[in-house]
Amino acid sequence: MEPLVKAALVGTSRSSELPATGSPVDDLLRGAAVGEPERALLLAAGAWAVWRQAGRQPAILPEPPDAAPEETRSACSPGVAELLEPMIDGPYRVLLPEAGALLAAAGQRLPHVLLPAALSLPKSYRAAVRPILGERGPWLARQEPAWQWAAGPDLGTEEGEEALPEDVERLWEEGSFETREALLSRVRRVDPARGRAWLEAGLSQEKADRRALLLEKLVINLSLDDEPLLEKSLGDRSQQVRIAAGLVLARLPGSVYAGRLRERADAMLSSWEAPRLRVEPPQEVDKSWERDGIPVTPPPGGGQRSFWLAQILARVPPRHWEERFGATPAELIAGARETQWLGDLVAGWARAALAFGAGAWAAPLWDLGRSQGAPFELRPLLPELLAAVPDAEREERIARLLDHPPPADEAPLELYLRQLPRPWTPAFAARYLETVRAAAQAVAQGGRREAADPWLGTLSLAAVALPSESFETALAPWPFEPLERPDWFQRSWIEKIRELTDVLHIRRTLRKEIAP
Amino acid sequence: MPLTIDQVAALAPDAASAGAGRKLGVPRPWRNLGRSERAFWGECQGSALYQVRVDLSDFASNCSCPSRKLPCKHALGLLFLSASAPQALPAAAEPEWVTEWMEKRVESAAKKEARKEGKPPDPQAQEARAERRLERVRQGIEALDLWLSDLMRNGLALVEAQPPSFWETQAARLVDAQAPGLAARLRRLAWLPSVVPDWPAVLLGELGRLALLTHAFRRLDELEPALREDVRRLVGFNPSQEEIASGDAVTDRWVVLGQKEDEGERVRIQRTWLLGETTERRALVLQFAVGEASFPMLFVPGTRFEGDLAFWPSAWPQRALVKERRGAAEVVGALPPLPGTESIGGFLAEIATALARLPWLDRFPCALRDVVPLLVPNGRGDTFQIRDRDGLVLPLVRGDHWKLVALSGGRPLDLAGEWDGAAVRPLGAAMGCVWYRLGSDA
Repeated sequence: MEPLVKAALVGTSRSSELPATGSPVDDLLRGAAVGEPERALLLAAGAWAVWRQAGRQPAILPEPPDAAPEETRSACSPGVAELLEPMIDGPYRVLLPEAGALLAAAGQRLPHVLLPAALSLPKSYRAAVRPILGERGPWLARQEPAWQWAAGPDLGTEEGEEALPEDVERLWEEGSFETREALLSRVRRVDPARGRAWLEAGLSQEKADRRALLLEKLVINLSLDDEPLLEKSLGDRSQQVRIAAGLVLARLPGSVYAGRLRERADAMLSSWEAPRLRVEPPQEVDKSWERDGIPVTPPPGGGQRSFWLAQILARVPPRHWEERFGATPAELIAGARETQWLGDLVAGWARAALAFGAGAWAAPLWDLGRSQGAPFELRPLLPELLAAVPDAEREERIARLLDHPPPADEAPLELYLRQLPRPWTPAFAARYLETVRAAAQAVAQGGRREAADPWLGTLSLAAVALPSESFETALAPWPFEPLERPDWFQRSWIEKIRELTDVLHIRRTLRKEIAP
Repeated sequence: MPLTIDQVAALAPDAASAGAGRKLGVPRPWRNLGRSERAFWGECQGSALYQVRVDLSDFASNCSCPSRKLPCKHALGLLFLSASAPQALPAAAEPEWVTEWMEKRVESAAKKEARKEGKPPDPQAQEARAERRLERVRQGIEALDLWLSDLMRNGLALVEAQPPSFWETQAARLVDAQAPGLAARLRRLAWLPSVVPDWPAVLLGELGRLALLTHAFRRLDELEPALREDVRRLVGFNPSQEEIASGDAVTDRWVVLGQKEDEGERVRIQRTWLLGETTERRALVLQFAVGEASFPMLFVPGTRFEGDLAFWPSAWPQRALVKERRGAAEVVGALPPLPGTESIGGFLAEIATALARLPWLDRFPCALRDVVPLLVPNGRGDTFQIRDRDGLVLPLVRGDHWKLVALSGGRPLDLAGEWDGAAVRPLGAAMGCVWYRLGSDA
C-alpha cells in the first residue's frame, strides 16, 4: 500500500510526518504554503490522484486478436432482421423454427448483432438457429462456456447428413455431454460398431442417468452385436440403467433376453380361440424379473398381477401376437374386451405398439380409446397413440375430431393438432378454419360457451401451423369487429384472433422478404 | 435520410410505444404520405384519421391523436415506415397543415427568446444577494475544511464503520450554505467503502481533490478567468441557461456519439456526447426530466446535425447546450478521423491535457477508431477490453459486451463511449458503415 494512503488510514494524530509520494507532486508541495499536516496530507493526496490519473499507462496485449473466419452466407435483409429480433429476444419465439428454415434454405444467416441473444436461447430453440449462425456464431460461442453447444460444427438434427465430421474422436473425448449424445446418435446411424466401442470404453465413467441416456442410443441400428454390452448393463448397480438396458434389449427380437420376455408373455396369454383370449397372469414372480430390469412393484393401490401383465406386454412386439395366434390386431383387441383384463391388456399393447412402432395397432387402439366405455388406462396414452398412426389415417382421425372435439378431461384438442406435421395440409387447414369461424360466429353472437371452448386454445398453434395457402382465408375479417362491448369471453377470443393475425402477418412478410 | 430502424426504436419513450409504433410502420393505415427537405408527414387511420408530422432537424413530432407521449405511436410508425420503406414517402409539396406547424415552431422559438429579455433585473438587490451567498459559502467551506481535517487526524480507517448519516449531515450543511456542488461531490463518496475493493486509495484521492477545490476557491481572484468559472461552478454557482445561450455560439457539424441516462434523486439526467467534425470539439449536453416526462430535445446517436452550440465557460469546455439545429439530421456510418481518435495512446494524452487544465474533470467522451473488443482471461475472471492497432488496451465497464464482440468478430471497429477514469462505457459502435447503439437497453 502506498505510504500516503497508509498515513491517511492511520491518521495524522499518530504520525504527522508527510510521506513522500515519489512523484513530482513532492516538489510541488515543497514550494507551497499548505499549513497544518492534515491539510498537507489532503492536498498532497489530491494532487497525487490527479497526477496518477493523467499519467495512467495502459496495459499491452502484444498478440493481435483472433479474427472470426469470413462468412460464407450473406446476412438477411434489415427488414428480416427487424422481424427476427422479437423472435429471438421476445414473444415470437415460436416462429423461430420456420424463420430459421426459410433463412437456411435461402443460404442466409443471422445478423451479427443478434448472435449473443441467439446463443443464449433455451435448449428447445437451438436446433432452429444452429444452421443460421454463420461462421461468427461458433467463433463467438467458443469464448463463453454457456454457449458451447454451438462451438462445434453443425451436427444437424436427427435427419442430418450421413458423413461424420473429421475430428469425431476428439469431439467424443472432449465435447460437452449434449454434443456427445448427439454425436453418438449420428455415429450409430453410420457406423454402429464404433458407437458400441465408444460405449464399451467410456460408459463406466459416466453418471447413472447419463449412462441410461447413452445406452438408449443403441436402439439406433440395433443388432445382436450389441447384445453382450446390453446384457452386461443389466447388471449395472443403478436401477435406471437396468431398466434402460432392458428396454433396449426388448427391442432385439433375436436376443436371449427377448426370448425370455416372450416366454413370460406366452405364459400369460396362453391361448386364442376366436373370439376368446385366455389370459393368466402369474400369481408370483421370481428374482429373474429384477435381474432382467423389469419393475415388479406396482404403484400404490394397483394390483400385482395387473401390473405384471401390463409390464411384460409392453416389452413384447405386438406383431408377436399376430404371428402366434394368426389374428389381426382388431380381432385380438375385440377378444380382449371379453376378458376381465381389458384395461391392462390394451395398456400393455399400446405401450408396446409405441415402443415397437407397430402402426397397425395404433389405429384400432385409438379408436377403442375414443369409443364408449373405453378403459381409463388408455386415456393417458391416446395422444401418443394417435401420433403413431400413419400420417394419412391420422389426419383423417384428427379431422373427425374437429367435428367432435375431445372432452376437456381427456386431452385438449390442441394437443392432437400438434401431432400433425407442420405446416398443415391446405385441405386440413381449410376444414379447420371453417370450423373455427363457425365457433367464432357462435361466440360473437353470445352463443354457447361450452361449444366454443376447445377452439380458443388451438388458435395460437394455428397461427404457426397454417400453411401459406391459407393465409388469405385466415386473415379475412373475423366476426368480432362490430362488437361494441365484448364480454370477458369474447375479449379472450378477440385477443387470440389478434395474436393470430399478427403472427400471420409476420409469417407472410418473412416469406416475401427472404428471397434466395 | 434513412434513419435505421434501430435508431427510430431508440426514440420511443417506452417499449409499449415502440411495439405499437412498429405495428403502424406499414403502408396499410397511412394516406397522403410525403416528405420535404425539412419534414415527414402522413395521415394515419386509427380510431380516427390522425395527422402526423415530424420535423427532421430535431425529430420533434406533432400528431392530432390524444396521446400525451412524445413521440406518439403514430409518429413512431411514420418514422419506422420511412426507415423500412423510404419510397412510401414520396417527395412532395408540404400540405397546409404541415407548413403551418413548421412555421409556428419557428415563431414560438423566437417568442421564447424575446420573453427572456423581459424583466429588467434590479442590480442593487442582485448584488446584495450575491454578497450574502458568497459569505454563506465561505462559512460552509470553512466548516467543510475543518471536517476534512478532523477526518485526516483520526484516520480514514474509521470511515468504514460509519453510517450514511456521517456523510449526509455534512452534505446537508453544504446545501444550507448554498454550495450544492460541493454537497454533491461529498455525497458521491459515501458508497465507496462498500463497493470499491481498494477504497482507501480512491477515497483519499477524492477527498484530496475536494480539498484542492476549497483551496482554489479561497484563491479565486488569483486564478485565471476560465478556471475561476470552473471553480465557482463546481462549488455550486451555476450560470443560467439563458446566460450561456447568450454567449458565443460554436457552429459545426456535430456527431451524436452516444447517450446515457441516470436516475437522480427526483429527476432523470441524460448525458449526450457530441463531437464537432471541423472544430474537433467535444461537448456534453445535459438534459433533465421528471418522472415519465420526455427530455426536451431529441438526439439520435449515430446521426450528425448542423448546428450552434454554446459552451459553459471553462478551462476545458465540455458542457454545452444546443442553441439551434439546421437542416435534417444525417446518419453517420463511421467516426470522423479526428486527432485523439486514432489510438489509445492519443486518447490518454488528450485526457492528461484535459486534467492538467481542469483537475476536477470526472467524465470524458471516448471516440476511438480501429479498435478490437475482446474477452481477456484474467486471474479473477475474464474482462472485456478494447485493443488498438499498437496493442494498447483499455478495460470496458463491467457488464455484458457480447454484442460488441459479435459485431467486431475480432476485426477493428469504431467505438464511441464514455471514460470515467477507470473504464470505457461503450455507447455506440460503427462497423461496415452501419452505426449500432449500445448501452442503456442492452
